[in-house]
Amino acid sequence: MITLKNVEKCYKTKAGFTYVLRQINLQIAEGEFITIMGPSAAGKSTLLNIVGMLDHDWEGEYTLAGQAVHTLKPKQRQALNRQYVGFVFQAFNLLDSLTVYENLDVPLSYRNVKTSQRAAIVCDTLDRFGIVGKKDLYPSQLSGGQQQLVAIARAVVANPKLILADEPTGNLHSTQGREIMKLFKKLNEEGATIIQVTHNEEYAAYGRRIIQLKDGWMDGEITPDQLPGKAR
Amino acid sequence: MIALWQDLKYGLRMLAKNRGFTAIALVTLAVGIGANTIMFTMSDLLLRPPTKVKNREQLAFCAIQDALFPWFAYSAYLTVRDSGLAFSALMAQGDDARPITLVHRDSVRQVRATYVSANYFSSLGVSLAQGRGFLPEEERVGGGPVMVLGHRIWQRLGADPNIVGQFLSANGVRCQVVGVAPEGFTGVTFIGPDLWLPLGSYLPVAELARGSTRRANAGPDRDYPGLCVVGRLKPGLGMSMAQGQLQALVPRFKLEYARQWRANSSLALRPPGRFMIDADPANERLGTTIFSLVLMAVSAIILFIACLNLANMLIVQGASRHREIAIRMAIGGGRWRIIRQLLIESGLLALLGGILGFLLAFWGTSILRAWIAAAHDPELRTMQPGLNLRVLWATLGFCLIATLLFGLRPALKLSKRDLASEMKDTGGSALGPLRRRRGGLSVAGQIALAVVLVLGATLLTRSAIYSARPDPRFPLEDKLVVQVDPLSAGYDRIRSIQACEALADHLAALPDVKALGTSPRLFFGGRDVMSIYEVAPGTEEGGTRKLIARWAATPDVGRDYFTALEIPLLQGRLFNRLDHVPDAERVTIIDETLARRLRPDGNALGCLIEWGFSTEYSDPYRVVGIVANVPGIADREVHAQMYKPTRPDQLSPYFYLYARDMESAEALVQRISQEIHQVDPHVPVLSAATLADRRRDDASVWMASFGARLALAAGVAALFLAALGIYAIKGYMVASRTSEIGIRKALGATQANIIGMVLREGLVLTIVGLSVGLLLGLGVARVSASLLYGVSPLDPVSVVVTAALLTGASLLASYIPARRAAKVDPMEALRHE
Repeated sequence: MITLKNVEKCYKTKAGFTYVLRQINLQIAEGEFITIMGPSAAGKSTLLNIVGMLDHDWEGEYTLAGQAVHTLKPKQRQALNRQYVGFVFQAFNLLDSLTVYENLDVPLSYRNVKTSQRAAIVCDTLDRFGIVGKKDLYPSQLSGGQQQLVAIARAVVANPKLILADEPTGNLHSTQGREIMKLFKKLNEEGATIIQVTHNEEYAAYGRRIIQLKDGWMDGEITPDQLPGKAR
Repeated sequence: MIALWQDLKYGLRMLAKNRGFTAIALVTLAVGIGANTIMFTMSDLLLRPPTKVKNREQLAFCAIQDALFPWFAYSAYLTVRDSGLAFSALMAQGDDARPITLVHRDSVRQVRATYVSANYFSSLGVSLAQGRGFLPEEERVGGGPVMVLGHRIWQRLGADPNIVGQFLSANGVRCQVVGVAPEGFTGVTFIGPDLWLPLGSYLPVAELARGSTRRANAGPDRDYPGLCVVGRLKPGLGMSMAQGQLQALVPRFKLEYARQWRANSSLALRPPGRFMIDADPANERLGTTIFSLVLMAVSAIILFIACLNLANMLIVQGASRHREIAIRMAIGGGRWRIIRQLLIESGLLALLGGILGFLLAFWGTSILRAWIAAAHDPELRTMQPGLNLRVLWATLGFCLIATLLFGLRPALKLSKRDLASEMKDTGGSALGPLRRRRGGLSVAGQIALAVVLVLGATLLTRSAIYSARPDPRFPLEDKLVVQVDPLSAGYDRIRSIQACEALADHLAALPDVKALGTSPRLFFGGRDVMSIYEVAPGTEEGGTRKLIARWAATPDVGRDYFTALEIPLLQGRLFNRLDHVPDAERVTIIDETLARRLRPDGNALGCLIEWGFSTEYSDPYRVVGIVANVPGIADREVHAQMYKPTRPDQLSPYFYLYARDMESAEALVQRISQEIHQVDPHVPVLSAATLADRRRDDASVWMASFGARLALAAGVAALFLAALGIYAIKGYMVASRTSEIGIRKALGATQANIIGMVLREGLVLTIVGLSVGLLLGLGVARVSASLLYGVSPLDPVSVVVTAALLTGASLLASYIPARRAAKVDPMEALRHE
């Protein structure tokens, strides 16, 4: 589904070029659950942003579902993003001024889904995630775990084939974190391709492959069993 | 003190750091404070007492109440002065400033002169800038014509430092200049004459030189004008006590001036009026206070909008400073210290804004002065607004008000924040719905206030345009009015009449002139103080009169007046040469309004009518013609007109020329002085202009236009501030929503989605503000409908223009932040999280 060939990203500074990603070559098949790990400033989030087409300023080749992203214009990339990608953030990034229902409605409205269909999809998603009772609440009225649940619901409401999660459990305590990871696992089993960024080895083990990044380079690829503190 | 200095330094650093915010804030404050300073200057001009008069509060105007006319005869003035009652000094001045033709070297101009008693300057406590005041012998007839020039006319004559001792011609009489008044001296009233002459000069300059003859049997009082008497109360004597003392003179006056004084007539004292010496100051104060309050209310709204802008900008900007303030408080900064720091920043802004505002006001006031200087009316020209110490203090006051208005609320708000939650906050958070709602309400409120001002400005401007536009039924562009003054050439009355006739003959024969009319005074429509009565046939002598019209004008017209002014004859005939000869039957031509009132069946020809004023009535006149209504030159209102043929002994120095076409009218204006000079080089031409120009120079038309310009400036300022406010608030709101916009873009929002969202929000606020503002504005317009002329307070054009202007400004102000929002990089925005 995803092919990255020699993907690089750098910033121009007074001292010269500072690379944040170097020669990333990666293939991800449809239905995979990938974990990206690495220390701070390793380039994990940058890689996720490139895959999610939020970042357009990079070099190399990137193919998503047969489409050569590197040849597309920003608008076309944005359209591809809307078609394939759902994002989950560490800080949830729910829209404070909107209710849970409205937060779920927003991605659909940006995809020009008809109002009547939107209502059906949102209600179905609320039901699927067991948050129907929370639909009229504002994000500030929810716990962290509930907020991330809503954020994931929002990420999948438009039925994306690819879910990108940037430290989705970073702001949650362990019980909530495990619940969220189970949810990702379930979504993956239902067919979604998932790429997550995490520091937590327990949660990293939910991925079938673990890509390790260091100083912008791919430092290796391991399986969950090879994790030093495997606890699964 | 060190802490205060540190706060000041930090405040300056903050202003320098946030350059964009500081620039917008300074422009906002400069407009707000500048507008207030200008309006205060105008109010100050209207409300401040005339300067240069010593202890004006000690002056008392002596009024004759319930008499046939309210002026003192010269002998009556002497009686009061010499009685020693009530006053330590008593001066008299003519009842009105009179026009005088002043010739100095080659320049001829019409100026206004007041005749005053010899002790005029000394009793007002004024030292002349040059020369001396009047001598007692100059107050008496035969004392030799002399004059004291006002400072402005002295400047206009070339500011000759050796003017004292020189001779100028006043109405053709050689008058020696004996003094120059100090700058700013306007006499007892706010608006003063151009020059002063002693009472003794009245007879030669105002009467004999104007062709009047001295009647042998007339008393000495006839040699003086009707007098207004103003005295300086004796020390320790109150107004009422002084008035009581003066009543001792009343029986004598009733005896000696039996025609003027009635049984119930009395003497009353009151402070002299500010604009008219004999006006009741209480009534005058009411008028000027209302006018000043309107001016100040308009500028207060502008300042309020400016402060509202800034308060919101500070609150919204405060969102980016809350961590700084929380840290300051956490490390021991007390609430008062934080408030002081924030207030110092606001005060610095207000002070810098005040300096810019003062400069703006300086510039604005010079424009106002230029507008006023361009006015034709000499009384208007004496009003010279200027920045003074009072205005400077007022500006500083506005700065303080502004600081408190826009600085205090954010300071109190920011210093009251919850420390714990602030410290937890990572910064850059989106504005909460509540804060955004408040920002939105504020934008809507500003739009509403701006709508009120812009609608008012549009209505007043349309009213002024309507008022300035001549009536299309009576084109004025191709009509010329020329004023000559043969009397000041030294001609006697008969020779002056002959000179005018010769000039009229010559001008009428010019190929560019279609027709020429004459009249003794400038007249083209409008109202006067006469009443018109119908006299039943056969009862001319002491018969009954039936009132037909009040506030009518009874102009004398000669030659082809009606043709020259294109006033169509509707019935009967125009005047012919026989109507002007001595002992001819008295005939009149009336306008259709008067004709309809006289005979609603349309058969007014042949009726006998007469005019009357107070208790005096004219001889009966037979109606021989009916002409169309002529709207007033200034107010375009139709008032009853009763035209009479000029008498052969009447001097008619006003010529009305109907030019063949408009181009020749303008060329004629250029040529007219040369033509007149060719015929009679001695006769000065006081003015030559089209009637359209005369109309534009009319005081009421000028005032309407002046008011509209002020309103327009206020409207533009309000529109500008509202747009700036919307831009600033929307800008900050958008900036504060960077992460939200980033999230939306990460969720798939396109640039168009984001621009649409921001514009939609702006449009909703605009519609709310417009609706509320239009309701308010139309309410205000209805209440102040009397200020509008020819435009309905609910004028749809004004409403549409206002709505379009505000919507345009608001959308433009929203579009810039919207575009900025659309360019938010979601990756950058989310990195803040």
